[in-house]
Amino acid sequence: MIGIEAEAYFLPETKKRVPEILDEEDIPFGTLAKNIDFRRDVGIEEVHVTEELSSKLALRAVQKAISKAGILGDDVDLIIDFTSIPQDYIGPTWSAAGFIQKEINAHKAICTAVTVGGCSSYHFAMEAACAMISAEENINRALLFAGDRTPNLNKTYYPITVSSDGGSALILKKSCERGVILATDIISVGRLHDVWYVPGLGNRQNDGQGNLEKLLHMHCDMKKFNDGVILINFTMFNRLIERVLKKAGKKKQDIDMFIYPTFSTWDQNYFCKSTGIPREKVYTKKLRERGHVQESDMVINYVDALNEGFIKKGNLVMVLTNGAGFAWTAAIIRH
Amino acid sequence: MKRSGKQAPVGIVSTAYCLPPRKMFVRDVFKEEEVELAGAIADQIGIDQVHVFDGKWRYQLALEAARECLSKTGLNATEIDAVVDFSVLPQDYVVPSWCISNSIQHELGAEKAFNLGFGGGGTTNLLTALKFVVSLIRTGRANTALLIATDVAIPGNRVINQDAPLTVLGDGASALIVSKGSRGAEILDIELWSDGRQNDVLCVPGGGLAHPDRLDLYRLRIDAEAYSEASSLLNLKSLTERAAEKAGINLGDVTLFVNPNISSKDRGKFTEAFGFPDDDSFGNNRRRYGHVQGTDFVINLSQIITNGSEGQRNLAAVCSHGWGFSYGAMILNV
Repeated sequence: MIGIEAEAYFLPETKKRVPEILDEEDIPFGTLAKNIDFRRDVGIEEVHVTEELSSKLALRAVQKAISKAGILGDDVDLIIDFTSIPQDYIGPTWSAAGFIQKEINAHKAICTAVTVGGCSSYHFAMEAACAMISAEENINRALLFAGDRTPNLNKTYYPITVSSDGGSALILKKSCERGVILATDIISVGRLHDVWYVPGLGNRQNDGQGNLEKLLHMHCDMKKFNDGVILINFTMFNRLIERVLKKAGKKKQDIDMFIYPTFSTWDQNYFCKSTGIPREKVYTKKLRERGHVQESDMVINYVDALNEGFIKKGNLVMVLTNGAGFAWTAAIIRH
Repeated sequence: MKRSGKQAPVGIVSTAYCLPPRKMFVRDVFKEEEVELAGAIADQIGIDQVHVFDGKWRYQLALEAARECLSKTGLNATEIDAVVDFSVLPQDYVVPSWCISNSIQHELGAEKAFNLGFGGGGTTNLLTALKFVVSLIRTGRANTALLIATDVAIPGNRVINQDAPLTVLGDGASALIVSKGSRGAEILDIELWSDGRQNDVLCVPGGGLAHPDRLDLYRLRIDAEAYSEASSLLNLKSLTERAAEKAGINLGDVTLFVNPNISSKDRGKFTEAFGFPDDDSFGNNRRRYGHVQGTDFVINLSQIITNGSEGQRNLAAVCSHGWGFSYGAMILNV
C-alpha cells in the first residue's frame, strides 16, 4: 500500500489580468472551432505571475509539503522532478531535483526527473515512485515536485489555456493509509509527440538573430492538434477511465470526485459532456482566478478540493489528465 | 533490488548502438574549437577520433539502434510495455517539454507501450532508467522495456572544459531491451545516490529560464573546480560495494568493471580507486568513439556480451559518477 502523506502548492502573490496578457501576446480574436471563441470561452480572468526561477517556486511548494507531513529532508529516499516546461537550465542535462535535495538537506535521497512533457508528468512520476517504492526495501518515501514559470510573453497556450506560474509537491509513503493510490494507468500515443513543443536554441535559424527567448516558447502545431488530439481526446479519456476503474475494481459511480486540469471553460464543458461525468463531481472552481498551472493543476486542485470539503476521508478520487507527448493518464486515490 | 528466491530474474536481453558514419580526428576537433592539443593532454584524454552527426533529427540515431536491438531479440514492437529515454544532452526539442521516447514508440509501432524519460543525472540516467524498469517488471507492471538514448554534441562544444580538457564528445545513440528472465545479462542489483550540492556541476547554462537568450552559454559546461574526482570516485566505490553486498557477493568477485569512456586519465583514476590499476579494457572504444554519454555503457556492455563464452558467466559492475552529482552502480551476471 502506498499513500499520499501530504501535498501542497505555492502560487506567487502577483496577479495579472488575462485580457492584458492576450493583447500582449497577440492572441487572435474570433471563432476557433465548433463555435468556440478562445478569448470569450477560456473562462480565466487572471493568473499568477513572477520573475522567480521555477526551481525557487518548486522549493516553496516542497517546503510546505514537508512541513505538512511533519518530516525532515533526511526522511526522503527518492526525489522526482515532474516539471513539464523549460527549467532554469535545459534538460535532460539538468533538472531541479538536485537543487531541491540540497535545499531541504535530503542527504540520502536519489534524485531524478521524469522528462516526459505535459501535464501527465504528474502520473508518470507517481508511477515511477510507486514502482520503486514497491520494489525496493530501502525506498519508503518519495518527494515528487514541479516548478513552473513560463518565459516572457508565453502565458497563453492557444487554443487551450492561459498559464499561471507556480509550484507543487506531494509526498508518497509506503504503508500510508492516507490518500491510498489504488490504481494508475497511462496510455501513450507517440505519433502526437510534436503537437506541442519548445524549439530551443538548438533550432535557431540564424545565430544571434531575433528574439532568442522566443525559442523557449511553447509551440502548437494547430493542424496536428485539430486532426490528431481533438479527434481522439474524449475517446481516449473514456478508454482510460474504463481501464483505470477496472484496475482498481471500481465503477464510475463509485468515484466521489474527479480532479482534472483547469484548462478552460470550453474544455471542461466538453470533458463533462463527453465522459458523462456530472459537472458537480469535477473540481473546477479556481479556473477563473488562476487558470492552468501545468502538471501542478492536479496537485493544486486536489489540495483546494480537500480544503473546501469536496474531498472527505474515505472518498474515492480520480485524478486524470491528458498531456503533451501525448498521453492520457489517471490515478484512483482513496483519500 | 536484490532478487529474493521467489523473484523472477530480470536481465538485459539485447543491446545495440548506432554511430553516425562521419568521423573526425580529435586533433581536428581541437583545431576547429581553437584549443591547443599538447601531447600530455592528448595522452590523458586517450581519444583518437569521434563520430559526428550531420543530420537534422537526433531521434533517427536512436531509432536505428532500437530497431537493431529489437531485431536481435526476435520480439515484436507490440510486445514492448515501456519505452524509456536516458539521454543526457539537448534533444530535437527542449526537454522536459518533449521526450524522444514518444517518437520512438510511434516509429517502431510499439502501440501498447507507455513512454517516458529520466533526466538530470548525466550518464547515471541509464542506471536510474534501469532501476525503474526493473522495479516495473518485478512488481508485475511490465514484462519488457526498451531503453533508448541519443546524444549529439552542441556544435563547437566537443572539447569539454577547454582550459584543461577532460574529454571529447562523440555523437551516437543506443538501445537496450530489459525483460523478465535470465537470458543475457542478469541484473542483480542497482544502487543510486545523489549529492545535490553538485547539482549544477554538469549543465548547459544558456537557453533555459536562467539565461534564455545567452547563446554564448548554450554549451555543455563542467564546473571543474567544483567537481572533485577523488571524492567522487570514493563515493562511487562505496556505492558499488553496497550494490555488491546487496547482490550477495563481494566486490572482489567482480571481474569486469564498466565505466564511461571519458578519458584515459579518468579510467586510470577509476581503476586505481577500485584497486585494479592498469586495466583499460574499453580503451579501444574510447579511442574510436570518444565520450558518448550513457551510450558508452551500452558500447562497453556490448563488447562484454560479444566476447563472452557460451556457458561461462562473469560478474560485472557498471559504475557511473555522473560528474559528482548522481551516482549509480549496477551488478550484472553476464
